[in-house]
Amino acid sequence: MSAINDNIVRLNNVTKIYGFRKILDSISMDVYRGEFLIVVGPSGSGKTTLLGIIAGLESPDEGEVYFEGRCIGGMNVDELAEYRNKHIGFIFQNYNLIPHLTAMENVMLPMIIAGLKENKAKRRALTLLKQFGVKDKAMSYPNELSGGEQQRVSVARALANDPMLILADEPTANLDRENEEIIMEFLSRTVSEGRTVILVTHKEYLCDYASRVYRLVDGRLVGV
Amino acid sequence: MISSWWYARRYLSKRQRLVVAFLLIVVAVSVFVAFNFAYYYEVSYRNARTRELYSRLIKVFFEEYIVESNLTAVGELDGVKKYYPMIANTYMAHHEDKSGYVPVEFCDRELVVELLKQLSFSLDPKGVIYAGYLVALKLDLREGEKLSFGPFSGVVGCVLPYTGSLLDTVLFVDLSVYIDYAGSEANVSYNGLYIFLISRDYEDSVVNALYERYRVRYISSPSRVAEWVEKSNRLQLLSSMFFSFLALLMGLGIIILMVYREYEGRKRELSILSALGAKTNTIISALLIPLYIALFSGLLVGSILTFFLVIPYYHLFVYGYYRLFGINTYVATFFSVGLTLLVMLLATVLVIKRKVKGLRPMEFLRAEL
Repeated sequence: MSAINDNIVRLNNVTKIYGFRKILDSISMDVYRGEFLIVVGPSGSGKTTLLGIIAGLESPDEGEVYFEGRCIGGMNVDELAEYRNKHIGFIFQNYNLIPHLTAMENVMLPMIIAGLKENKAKRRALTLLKQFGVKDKAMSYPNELSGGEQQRVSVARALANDPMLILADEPTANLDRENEEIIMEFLSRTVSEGRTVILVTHKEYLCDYASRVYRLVDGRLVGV
Repeated sequence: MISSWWYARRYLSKRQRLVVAFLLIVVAVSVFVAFNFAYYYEVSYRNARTRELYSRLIKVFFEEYIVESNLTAVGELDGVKKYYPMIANTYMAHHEDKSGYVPVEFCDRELVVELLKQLSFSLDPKGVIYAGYLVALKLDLREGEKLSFGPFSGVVGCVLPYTGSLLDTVLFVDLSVYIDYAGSEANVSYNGLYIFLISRDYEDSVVNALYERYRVRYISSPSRVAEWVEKSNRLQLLSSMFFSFLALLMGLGIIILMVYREYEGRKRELSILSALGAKTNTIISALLIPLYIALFSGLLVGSILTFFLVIPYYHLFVYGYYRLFGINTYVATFFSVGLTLLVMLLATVLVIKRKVKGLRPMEFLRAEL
């Protein structure tokens, strides 16, 4: 924990209600710079919602979320988009690659959104794909890739703009054990490079990779 | 914006079928829009030109043929600047394998020059037979070609320019042709008159005088022509306006439906863009650029098709000859189609903006979906 100094994300009494159900119930937590935080919980416990709120894709009904000391609830839609683009890398369970873009173009996309020139974005995308062992698939479309390859492209895309924070939503749920290990190793490596990772999963055994673990049950953090 | 173009380019290259389908629909709609607008403007243009022709002109048809000496009194009426007697008849005309009934007016060549002057044409027609623009189209006539009508025949000296007025439908023939046929000793008599007024203020007095002095069958005067033109074309104008409006609504409906379907089908993709940090305008542009490209090209292709293919073939089918409308009609139509496009663009932007703002990305990014 020596790399951990100050918090990058702070949740203060965050509550999210869908209909009559409290998905998140007064969640408060700090996430520190350079840590690998895993939130474990069964499906439906509010894990994805938690990540959505941290990313500013959903707004809490109560409470505040701070990123580097700034309350993201005070940001307008475009500021939130810029916040996601610059500071957050998202990895999804079902990869969420854009079907009509090649692997390389999928990785280029966040950089293009950020305003990077196409040539530079292409160079960086190829470097990242090489780093994750899928450079030979650069011109393939998502439907031509295996699940493991798609998730590697997805991780490369999450790192495209060199974000400080990686949010990973069940990134290994659809993968076999071998690919799961590869992805977890990749994530561990990004943490060792100084990034912060928040990973939500229902797989208890993944906690071995974590520097800290939260448990989420019925919208409440019940144990640390 | 650059990212939207980058993204749209890739979307277009991968979804060519969809774009082509959209393009075809837009072409069909724009042909309908352009066709109706073109007719609307053509009829409006013709009305305006005919009114312009008759701004200080009276045309009289008598019940009987009158010798020239009995018409000289017209020249002495207050407000009459010039008058030209003429013999008007309808003949079956033949040119090569084409034939049809054509109104023929035997008159002084100078009358043709004066009539054209009323419409700002300065022309010195050659020969003795001058074919109105639509007559020439109908009979496929060109200058120097032989034409026969009734007992007469001769070479077409001049095909008159398109005036948009009633002159286009008349075959003017110099009186010498009639005199040659009737014999120089014959006492030529006339069944009609063209009267040019000093100003429109004299219209009523001259018309009243004509009714008093001659057995008049029909008079076309500035106010009567204006009234007649309005009346005869009102139905055409109304139907053109109605169909133009209908086309606009139909086009708008189809475009909005397509945009809506496109949005519904791409919600997940738009959510991914949002998660990756694309701003609302970037998402909207990424969604709309392919549609706009199809919309612009469709309306352009549709207008060109209408102007140079649909309208000429419609005339061939209905009237038996090809014809293009005047440049004024095409310019006005093009602007109207452009305006229609603008309305469509605004409508799609409004619809999509509302939709994208209401998009909840997490709903579509969750694994269970």
